This record gives sequence, structure tokens and C-alpha cells, in this order.
Amino acid sequence: MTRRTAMRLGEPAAPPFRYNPSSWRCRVPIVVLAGIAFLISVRLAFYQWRLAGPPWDPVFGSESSATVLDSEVSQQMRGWIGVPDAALGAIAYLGDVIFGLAGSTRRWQYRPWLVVLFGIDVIPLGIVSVVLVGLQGTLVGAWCLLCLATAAVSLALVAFAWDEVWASLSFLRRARRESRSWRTTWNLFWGRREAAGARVALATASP
Amino acid sequence: MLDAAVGAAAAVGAVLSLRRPARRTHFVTLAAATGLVLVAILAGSGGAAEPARQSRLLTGLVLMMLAIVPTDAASPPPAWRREPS
Repeated sequence: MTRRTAMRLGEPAAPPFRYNPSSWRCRVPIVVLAGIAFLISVRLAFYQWRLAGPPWDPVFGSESSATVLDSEVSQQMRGWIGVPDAALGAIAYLGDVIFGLAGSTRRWQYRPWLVVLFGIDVIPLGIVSVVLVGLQGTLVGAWCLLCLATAAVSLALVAFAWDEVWASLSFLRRARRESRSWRTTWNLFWGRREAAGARVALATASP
Repeated sequence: MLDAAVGAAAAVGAVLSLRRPARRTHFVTLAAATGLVLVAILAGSGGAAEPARQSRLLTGLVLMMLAIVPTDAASPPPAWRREPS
């Protein structure tokens, strides 16, 4: 729906797509979803810090959620990363919000580094969430509704975010082909203007 | 003392970066945040200072993310602003 609207508005497309994945209409849903997951993760972290009671869970029960959050796996992760895993998840979702809001609606061209950083924050987070949910069922033997909700959000974020990352990488690939220079590609990656990048972008903007 | 120094560095860096000649001053925040994270990691877990250590680690990570974003991120980088329309 958002993509169709973006096309109707006539925003310059970002090849290989026929819409602009950096448009606000594509980015705002990502930011909203990440914001919701951030709030859920903060609630789960509050329980792991014992600043609040067990989280609400009408499906599996609060006891089941508490079992997951206090599990051996969770404790082990806390030992590795130095903070409760839910707190690190909250920071990662906050990163999605920050990097989702930063940059113009043409950042796939102007700031590829920012788009790639955004992708690095979103895509591994989705994979880690799926792994953690898998561990819930297999190793812990209990389920946590809010943890499942954040994992679902993570996967949705991957689905929403990959096109912008792909558009940026595609722009760099086309600029590399045009310039035949890795240095030019490197400069474009960091947002420096290069003639080859401008030519590729101009060709993109033309119908 | 460390927390106050990092807070002051972040605030001063952020305010100065609003002025065009000093627009890269927000990297001061990045340096201060990296220091905060390193201090938290090197302190090791456990003990009475554990809550402070975790707080420094998380605050450092948030500041790092904010510091990476360019000051005028909503506009194209200066070099691209000369792009013919």
C-alpha cells in the first residue's frame, strides 16, 4: 500500500525498484514498529532487573514468561554481553528508530553508509530474535508472548528494510560499473559527490 | 566524575555542532560514548558498582548511535547540494 502511494506521488524511484524505499511512507512504519518493540523490550528488561514484576502474558501465563526471562540461556547471555538480553534488544530497537528517522528521502544515494548501518542494525537483530525464540521452545521448554511479539516485529522490520539497503547497494554497484573505480565507490559510500554517482543518479531520476 | 565529564562533553559537542564551522563537533560525543562503553566493559561484571556499570554501557551505546547521525542529516551532504536540478 505504501509503495503504491509512493509511486502515485511521483517520488523518484530507486532502482531496481519502481518506488522510493527511502520515502517517509516506507520508513515511518519501520520506525513505529521498532518503537513498539523498544517499549516491549524495556518492559522485559525491567523484569530482568527486578524493577517490575513478571510481564503480562494472557496466552502462556506470566509464570511461563518469567521462566524464559530467568532461564539459563538468558543468564548466560547476560554474562556474555554484560546487560540483560532484553535491555540490549531495547537498545537495538532504539537504534532502528534513530537510524530509521535519520537522513533525507534520497538517502539511498546521498548517504549509503547510513542505510547500510540501518540494515546492519535491523537484519542481524531479526536473525538473533528468531534464534532466541527457537531456543525458548527447544532448550527452555517455555514460551513468552511478549518475546514472541518482539521476534515477529524483528522479522517484519527485516521485510520492510531490506529494499532500501538493496537500493543503496545497487546504486553503488552501478556507480562502480560506470566509474570502474573502487575509490569512487568508496567516496560515494561515505556521501561524497562523484561525477559517476551523479550520472547514475541522474539516469535514475529520468523516466 | 566520569559521568559528569561525559555528560558535559556530549552537551557541549551537540550545541557546538549546530554552528556550521564546527558541525563535526558531534564526534566529541562519539569519543566520550566510546570511552564510557570501554570503561564499562573493562570494569568487569559483579560487585556493588554493577548497576552503574550497566547504566554506563547502555548510555554509551545510545550516545554512540546518536553521535553517528550527521548534524544536518535531513539535507543532502554539502557536496551533493551542488547537484544540478
